[in-house]
Amino acid sequence: MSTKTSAAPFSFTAEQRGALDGWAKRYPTKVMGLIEALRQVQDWYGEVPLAADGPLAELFGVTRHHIREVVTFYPYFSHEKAGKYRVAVCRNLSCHLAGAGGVIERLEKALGVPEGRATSDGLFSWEAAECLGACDHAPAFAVNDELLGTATPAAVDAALSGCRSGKPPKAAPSIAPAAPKCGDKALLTRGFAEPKLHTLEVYRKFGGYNAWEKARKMAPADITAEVKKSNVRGLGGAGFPVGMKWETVPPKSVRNVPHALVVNADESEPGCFKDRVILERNPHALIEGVQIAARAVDADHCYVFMRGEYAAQKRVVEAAVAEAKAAGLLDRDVLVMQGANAYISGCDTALLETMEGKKAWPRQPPPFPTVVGLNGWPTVVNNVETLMMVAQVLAVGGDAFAAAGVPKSGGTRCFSISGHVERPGVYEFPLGTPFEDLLAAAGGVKGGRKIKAVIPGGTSTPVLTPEEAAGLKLDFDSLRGKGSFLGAGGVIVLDDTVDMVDVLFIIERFLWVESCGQCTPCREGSGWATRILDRMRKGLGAAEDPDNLVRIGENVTGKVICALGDTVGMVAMAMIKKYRADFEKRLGKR
Amino acid sequence: MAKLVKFKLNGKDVEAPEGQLVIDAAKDQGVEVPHYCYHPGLGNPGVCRLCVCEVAGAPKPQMTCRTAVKEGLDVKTDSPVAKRAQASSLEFHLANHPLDCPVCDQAGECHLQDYYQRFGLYKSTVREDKRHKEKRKDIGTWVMLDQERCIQCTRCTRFVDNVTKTHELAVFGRGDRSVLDLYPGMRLDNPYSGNVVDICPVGALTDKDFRFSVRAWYLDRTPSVCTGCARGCSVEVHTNTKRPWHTGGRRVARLKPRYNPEVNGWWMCDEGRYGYKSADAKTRVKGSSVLGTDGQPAQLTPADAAARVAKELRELCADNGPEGLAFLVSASLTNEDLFALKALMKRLGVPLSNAVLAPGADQLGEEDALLRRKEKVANLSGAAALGFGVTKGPEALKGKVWGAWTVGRAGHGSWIGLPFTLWQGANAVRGSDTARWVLAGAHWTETDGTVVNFSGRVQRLRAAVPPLGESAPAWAWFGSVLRALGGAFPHDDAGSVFAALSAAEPAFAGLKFELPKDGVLLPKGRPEAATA
Amino acid sequence: MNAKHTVAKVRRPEVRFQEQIYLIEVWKGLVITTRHLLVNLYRHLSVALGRGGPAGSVTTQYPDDPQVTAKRSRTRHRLLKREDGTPRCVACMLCETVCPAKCIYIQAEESPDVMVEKRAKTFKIDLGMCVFCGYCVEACPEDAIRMDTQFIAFPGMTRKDLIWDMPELMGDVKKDPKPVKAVDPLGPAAS
Repeated sequence: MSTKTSAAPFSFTAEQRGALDGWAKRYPTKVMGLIEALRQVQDWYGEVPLAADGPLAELFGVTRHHIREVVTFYPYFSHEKAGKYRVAVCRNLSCHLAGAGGVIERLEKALGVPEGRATSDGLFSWEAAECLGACDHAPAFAVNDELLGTATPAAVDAALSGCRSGKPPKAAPSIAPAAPKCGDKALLTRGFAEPKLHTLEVYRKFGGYNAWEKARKMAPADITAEVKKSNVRGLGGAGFPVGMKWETVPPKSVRNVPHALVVNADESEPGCFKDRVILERNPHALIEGVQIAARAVDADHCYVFMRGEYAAQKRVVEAAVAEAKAAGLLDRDVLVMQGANAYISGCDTALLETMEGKKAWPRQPPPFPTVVGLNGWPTVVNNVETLMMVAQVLAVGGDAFAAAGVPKSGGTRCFSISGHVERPGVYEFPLGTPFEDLLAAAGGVKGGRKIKAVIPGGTSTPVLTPEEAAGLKLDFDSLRGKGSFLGAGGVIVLDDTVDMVDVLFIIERFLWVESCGQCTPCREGSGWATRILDRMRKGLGAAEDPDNLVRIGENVTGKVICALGDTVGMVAMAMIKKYRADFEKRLGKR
Repeated sequence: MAKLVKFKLNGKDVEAPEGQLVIDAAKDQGVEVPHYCYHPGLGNPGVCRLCVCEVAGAPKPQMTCRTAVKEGLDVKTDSPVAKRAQASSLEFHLANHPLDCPVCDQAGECHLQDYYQRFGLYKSTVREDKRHKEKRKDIGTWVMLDQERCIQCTRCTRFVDNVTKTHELAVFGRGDRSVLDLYPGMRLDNPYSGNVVDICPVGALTDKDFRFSVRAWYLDRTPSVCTGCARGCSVEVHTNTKRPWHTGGRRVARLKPRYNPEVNGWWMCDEGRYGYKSADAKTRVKGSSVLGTDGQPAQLTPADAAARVAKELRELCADNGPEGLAFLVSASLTNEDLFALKALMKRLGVPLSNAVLAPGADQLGEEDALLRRKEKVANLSGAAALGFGVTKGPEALKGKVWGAWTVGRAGHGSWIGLPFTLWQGANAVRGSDTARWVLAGAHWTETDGTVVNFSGRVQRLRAAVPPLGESAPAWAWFGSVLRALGGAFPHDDAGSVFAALSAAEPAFAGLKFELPKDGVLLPKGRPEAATA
Repeated sequence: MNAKHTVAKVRRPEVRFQEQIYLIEVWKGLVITTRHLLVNLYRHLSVALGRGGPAGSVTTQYPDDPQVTAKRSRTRHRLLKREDGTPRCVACMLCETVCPAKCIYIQAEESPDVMVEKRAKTFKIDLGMCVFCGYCVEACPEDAIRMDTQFIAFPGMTRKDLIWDMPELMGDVKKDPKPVKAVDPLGPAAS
């Protein structure tokens, strides 16, 4: 196998054992602490040594090969010994458009080592990462999962020298527009002008936890009914009506086992960074939403599963939980669990697999997670923003929330917008808002250029032409009507300097890197499509390549286990259908 | 037994038990659905995406291995959508698969080849360089791994995780960089390692013992039973008689387990699997002989040998009394062999208790919870059912005998100086050439007959090849000596012997020689005295 | 199999007196021979005088003159080598399987090169049994065997001598008699 980790014998120190033990005891089952324990081992040693498999297996009650499977699966665990400071530069779409390629070249020269290899002093290693969730700071970079904003030469140099002098930089705070662009229609971002919105005191000043006080006295079924009335839909990508999902949870009278509520904070969809911003700026809204939801579905355990790259956001949320707990606001404790930097962990069933300490291989419902989820318990998995909106639903009332949006897509949502716009960022708008309004809020197309393409909901959603984007209403059903999806609301605007072959290559390469490999069409199809596009990118396209890509896309979509596989096909099919000319330009002279 | 429900399969109205997997229901109806990851003994993960069907009312194609039969289900495995999905899944499996067919042992019995011919037949459009992984990796005593050929069906990992629980193999990595590999430092050396070669649909896991020896399409396959231990796993004997130069003159090329839900499921142990070599080993006794006064063996024809042995026995029995003749007999002899032996002993007047069938120390071995039994003989229960004592060793007869007729087991050393010593069997063992008479016995792969396993199940052995040289089954030897003594033995084939046995022995009453393929329990159940 | 046969009576021509005395038959034969002589003489003269027309028969002084065959003829086999000199044959057994005369005998072994994996230890063709059908060439996936040597003579003193193994078939051990001239049937003779 590819890992070159050392097999030399070693043992953990007593202190290390204590820390690992802590992970094993943190959750209801030992193995739930495995991933975070492995992160710790990676941080201590720059790798997870082969010889550590035995002691870890014993401690967590699994086999050695389970440990090694997990270690070789997740991107956080390095194949070779990593440097003390791991520098990640995003190479995904928005950052690529902003010049990530140049940043990477410069970094490689500065450090003098190839990707993944540690410098001779053991201080640094670097990687060209996939979306870090910081498209508003494109091209973005991070050191040891601390997001450091835009990778200007000065910023990168400052970060490197900070590390060299033993003072590694902490994450730069997220910026979001102080005044909501949708005026008084804003629900979540209404208090964003207030820099300390993340503290309990300020949050309460904005009416925070009033909804929870109300809900605390309601019957769980009534909470669910209110949520149903509001037409609030999942804002993490799937857009499933929230109340309907909660109703599928079997009550304890039917299934008397613990129930769980899991917040999906694994936001890794390229183009989406709204969860990052709202978590950091308004964490209490999440906690409030969690308490309300947990009451509605009778959850005994509440977790926030946070992507590894949001280290700063994890700290903010944990601080807020502590505040709320101290104020006696929590009926149920909330634990934040950190992932191991895999996009596929964002798929709900794969997320549960990661939480259970396994490879993130998505499951195949039925049964659905609300019936058999975490550890076999009925589990509701909801996106961060969705649960924050649940708090707003209880605050303003289900009918009012529904009215704020459009039929079947109630309320507002936070849109991430990046790419070729003047002011990339997070903007809250009611569902059904015209695309032009969102574009205007972001300052319009950068440099006043013409739009060539609009990606509406993250790179996993089929692309829209400017004609399709004109007059487009941003709600779930309107997007469906145009053959695409609202998804997680990550809008990327592409101007007429962009070549769609490059764009599709970046998207397919991302899917290929992140594919879990469980099912054959996605595992093989994503790699195949990426290699064809790479060849085309270099001007060596064959005449049949565009049609072959469409055919591959048709063959993958609908035949796979999870949506990542479907995306491999749908994105390619839409791109080639709508921008064929770009592809034909890359055909070599054969 | 679940209730039968009606559902539609490819337009036809059919019935199946409610809850049965559609892929199995289709198989029962004679409809083949191509698949890799599904295996009835290893579960249905639904990861290969090949067993696709169209289900009326479902927006996306479904997997037949993950869909259960229910009333009113309407399933099509041959619709254009289903066929395209099957062909495209094959295309994805083959996209990175190396063009190894000419050098791969799986050729001719490969599910990629076979399914391509039946469900694929598309033109390849792959122009890219394929992914490269480790090839020709020796991972165990019996198994070779080629990572490039692996299609990640996970059957082998599920086998070592759930059946043998030894966890040697796993899929490491992510995406198309995933590789099937050993856990570093481990070897695939559990006692059932050969089974992963059977379940691997492609040539990723191949048998080192069989490597490059002969092409699968040259082999003939005969269903039989392994005689390695008292479990009596159903097997298939694969023989190469078409191209003898391939297997170095060996006729029996390999053994494969045969599915038998009552005995061994889908598996067999390595000891049994690789025990076929005795069939063509140099130790095979091909002709009978008698030691001359010069100490050298003189060859005898079978007729001669039988006649002279009969003459000598008649004389010795008359002079010394038949109770001085002992029969040390391997409990792997078939029921037919033992029935003929009984008749011979009766004719000679030798008491039945003079037959020693209890396994010797060299015929006992390891036992486990999966398949292996500690008695490394195949027909202990059959012997008990026929009235032989199977618990007393030869010590009871020591010092009281003038003759020892040993069949298929090591001779008892101190008996070699006796007036009458005879060794009969297929493979010579230590000391067998010191016996005065040597009779060439047929190997179990050359034998038609029946054996009874430890749980009282009777199964059929079938001869895959004719006996080597002038060897003959034990019942034929006993029968011809019996005839030479003037007794009656009107049987030319094992079936005839069994018919007589079934008529004469209450334990086998009503049984026919053409037993069902899974065998059948003895009418009166497992004989009590069978345990050694 | 046990059908009743009826034996058909074949009417054979009577041997007449003029045939019995034989001399007339001898004369008839000589007429044929003389006709051949004169026609060929005429044809040779025509060609020699530049007047064209069909060529006369020529007796090739084989083996001093080379035998002439068409380039596409299926002639004696050869086993091809890779660029590094090792045989292309990977002992896949397809030729052995397809051979209708069952005259190919291959034994496989491990190749030291992991990218090749398998090779032939022995590769025997019994040229005495071969029917020169060319199926082995068609079946081979490696282009390891061809029947294009243009050799059609492979004499031996015993039947065993006609069984050629790899060294002979690869050309490492020479057993060929005089070379043969190959022609393109549509054009002038080429060597």
